[in-house]
Amino acid sequence: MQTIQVKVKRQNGPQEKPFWEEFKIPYKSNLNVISLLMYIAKNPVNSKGEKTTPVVYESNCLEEVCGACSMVINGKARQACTALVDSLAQPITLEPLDKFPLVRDLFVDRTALFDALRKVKAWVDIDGTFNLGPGPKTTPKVQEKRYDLSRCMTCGVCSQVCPNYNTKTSFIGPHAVAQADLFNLHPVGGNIKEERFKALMDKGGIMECGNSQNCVRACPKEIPLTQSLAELKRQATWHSIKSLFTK
Amino acid sequence: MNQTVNYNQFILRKIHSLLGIIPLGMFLAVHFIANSRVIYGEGAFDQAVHFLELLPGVRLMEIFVIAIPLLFHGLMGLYIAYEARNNPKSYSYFRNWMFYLQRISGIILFAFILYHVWTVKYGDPNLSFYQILQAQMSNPFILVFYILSVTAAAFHLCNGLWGFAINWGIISGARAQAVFSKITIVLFVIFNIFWFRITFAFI
Repeated sequence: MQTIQVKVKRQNGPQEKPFWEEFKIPYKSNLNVISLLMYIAKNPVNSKGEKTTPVVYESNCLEEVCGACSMVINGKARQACTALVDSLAQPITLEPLDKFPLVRDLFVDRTALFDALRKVKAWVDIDGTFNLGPGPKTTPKVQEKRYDLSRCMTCGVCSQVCPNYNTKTSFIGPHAVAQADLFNLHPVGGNIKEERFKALMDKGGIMECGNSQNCVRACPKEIPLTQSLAELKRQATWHSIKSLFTK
Repeated sequence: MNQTVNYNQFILRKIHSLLGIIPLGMFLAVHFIANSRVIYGEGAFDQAVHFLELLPGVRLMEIFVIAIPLLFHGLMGLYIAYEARNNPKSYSYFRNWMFYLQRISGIILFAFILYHVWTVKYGDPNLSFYQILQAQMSNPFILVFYILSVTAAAFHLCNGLWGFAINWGIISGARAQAVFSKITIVLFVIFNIFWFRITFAFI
């Protein structure tokens, strides 16, 4: 019987020691990595025939829009749902993202990504007590630009591959910069532009990007992250110079 | 949420990026242009050294245009290099290698510049710069160190020019960045050929 070989880097808890476990899974065509993990969950027996615990992992949408199933597959950070077994070299190695606190096995705590979005106020500020009516119109050009940026699913792949996103730094990550750009470009969201610039100039801000440009290569949604990074570096600079002379 | 903003990192890194070009990149270009006189021999080189030594305010320039910016750029650069968790093996993209090499070349240059200034500028006062350099480069190990460092300097400057253009938001589009990346590679090759020619003139 043809089998698929899978090697999983497992860890029972944040303080436990990591170890590798191998699995052999009966071959079927058109499987993705999530289906392998589902098979292991159903039949938790490793390649030595020993009974083991199911591998813990996160997933939701299975169509690369939720960002939950990010993991390191054959050495590259990506989504498990769109990692097709037929196009992967075997043994397929699965590791958790190592830039985020580990919960168990392939399950990591991505809270830092959402904290970064909160820091740059990645939202349109419209909360009020009465109806504000329709907002200003956007040009198709801006809409197109915003659409590219709006595809972000906070999966964490950009931060995982970024050399400057690690425990020694406090960099907020490329995704947060692109989201600040997205909401600055919104005609109403742009009202709090200055607050976003401030957040981007704070500790862990935009200048802690070192231009390795891994983010834009690894982003599964092909978001022009490096363009946002360069443009906000310019905007933040002009904003700070301007406020030196006008405040 | 905490409202106070800590601008230190932002300002320090902006200054670090700026100093790499103005004045340090400019100084490096002038340094090699002046030293290119060595191609015409020892006498011509000594004349060039003499000319620079007699510029008004040369000591002040040495301190404020060279020493202080160099020290700031070097120390801040070492800190930036220390912070990165390099991964060019896992993600072997061209720009990721450039990112890694920028840090490696920076560390080489930090060591080299300390050695170079210490042994040439503050070396034996009875010998001319030409004599010191010629003596150094007659040692094959030091010669290799010079060749490596000259290459590192050309690379660090050209790749740094690319980083500067992005850090100051001068070039932001993907196409523009790719084109400018190619231009800086051409610049690196030209600088390297010219600077090698000057280095070998001491042998």
